[in-house]
Amino acid sequence: MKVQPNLRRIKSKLWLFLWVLLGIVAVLPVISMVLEVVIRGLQGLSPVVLDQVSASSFGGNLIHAVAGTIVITLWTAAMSIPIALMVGVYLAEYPNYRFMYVLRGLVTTMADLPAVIGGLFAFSFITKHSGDGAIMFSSIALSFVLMPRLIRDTEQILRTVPSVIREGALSIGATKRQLIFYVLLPSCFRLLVRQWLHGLARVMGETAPLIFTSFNDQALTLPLSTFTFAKGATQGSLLEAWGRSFLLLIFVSILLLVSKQISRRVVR
Amino acid sequence: MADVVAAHDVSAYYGQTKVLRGVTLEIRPNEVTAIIGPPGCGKSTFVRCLNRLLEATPDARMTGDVFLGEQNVYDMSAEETRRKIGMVFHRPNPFPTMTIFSNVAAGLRLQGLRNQSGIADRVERSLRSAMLWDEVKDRLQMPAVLLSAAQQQQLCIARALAVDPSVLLLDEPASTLSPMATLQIEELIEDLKTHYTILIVTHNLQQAARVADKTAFFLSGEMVEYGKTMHLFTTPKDKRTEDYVTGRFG
Ligand SMILES: Nc1ncnc2c1ncn2[C@@H]1O[C@H](COP(=O)(O)OP(=O)(O)OP(=O)(O)O)[C@@H](O)[C@H]1O
Ligand SMILES: [Mg+2]
Repeated sequence: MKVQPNLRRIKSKLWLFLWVLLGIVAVLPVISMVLEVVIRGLQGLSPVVLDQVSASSFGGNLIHAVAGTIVITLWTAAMSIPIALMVGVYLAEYPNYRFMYVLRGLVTTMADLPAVIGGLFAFSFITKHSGDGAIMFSSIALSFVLMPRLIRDTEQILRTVPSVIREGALSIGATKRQLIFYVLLPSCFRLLVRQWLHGLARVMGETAPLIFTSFNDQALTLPLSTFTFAKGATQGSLLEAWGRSFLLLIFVSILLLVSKQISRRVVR
Repeated sequence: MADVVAAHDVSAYYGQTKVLRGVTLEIRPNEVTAIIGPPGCGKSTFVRCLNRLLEATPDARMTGDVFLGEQNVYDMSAEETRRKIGMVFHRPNPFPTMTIFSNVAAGLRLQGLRNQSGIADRVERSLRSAMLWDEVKDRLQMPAVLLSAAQQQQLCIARALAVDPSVLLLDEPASTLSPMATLQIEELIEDLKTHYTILIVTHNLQQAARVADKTAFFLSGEMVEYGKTMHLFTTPKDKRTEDYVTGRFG
């Protein structure tokens, strides 16, 4: 009678220990990775290193990559978000047509394809393999990666609105379009914006799709020039690579932080 | 002005399944009519036929005719029908992103009304009719979802009244409310019947006995019996009605 509670206590202690251990195992790599990126990145961004490397420059300068990342991300947003919103709404709210099944199947498949295929697909649109257009085609490539994911998520988000809310809108004389724009989209707005920001943060760091569309501009975006510098494998160029991934981490963190902030309720 | 709502031989289907079998029923103005019946017998489906909400459900369709006064509702747009035949649901469903004020004003704004003082006027009147004005007049800009469940349901009634219906359909409006709140809603219904034609679906036989002048008993998609509530409960003509109201099944 006395042994059993003790045994139970030991057992629960053991479990606790195990959980903590597993927690550490899971968190440690993340923490050490972030630390490494920050420490080495700051080194890599120091003026001395920057000067040295751009003197021997083969990976392009930093401003170019930062600007490329920002512009391409904005273009990707401008192309993917409106279309994804429209198609997502269409899938969620007009489910009655056979065409929808085909479209949904296509979108779900595309959303799970490796990103590199999006790049290849965009590549197939390129007719003239010279001059500029790297920004445009890279944005298109990233849109192919991002859009199917956004469409799928948009549909799922809209489906979370309970049918009793939809019926409430219809019951006071809302048309289908009014239901969508006046009730559904506003009540999903937070979730949608969060999903956009997460998606953009995700594709912002993609390298693979840009292989085809960068027109040999090896420093077109931060991840691409990170890749280029890392391939260089000299002391200086490795530090440059760290510097760039640090900046990328900052950009992604900003997007994710903004998306966290949006959690607060919006009421009209 | 309250109007008669008349259903003629209304049947309804979900896909191939027929769930409503030729119901004919006239709902008189300035009375409360109750629909009772066991779960799944088609009460909600019938109510949704009256304001053409059923056609918003995928795969659902109805046959037969519904008249509002002299007018066939299929001669109006679905939207107009739904404004004239307001509906309140089993679960309070205020628009979650909107304030108290905007919830009530929503129907007017959707019609394209822009006159702010006109809207404010109508919102106040609707909230008064729903007996909610005094409780919320100082916090009209508060999110509607912060109200209590009973207040939310009153708000939904106000929202329906704001677009000036002549009929109010209430589908188990008190089923999620406490007994006290239920009584409050019942009082409100008593009060509203002087201006509106009222149809209430209820599981609760006592509730039907308390608020309804007439009662219809539905079973398996058919209307078994319809008459004065008193008669239906005390001297039912049909054996099945008797079994149901005496609690022998359902
Ligand atoms: N959207 C739908 N698709 C398919 N079948 C449905 C749908 N809605 C209801 N039904 C079926 O139609 C029948 C009637 O449903 P209805 O909701 O009208 O019953 P009810 O009398 O309101 O029931 P309750 O008392 O549970 O609210 C039920 O058998 C139900 O399963
Ligand atoms: Mg029902």
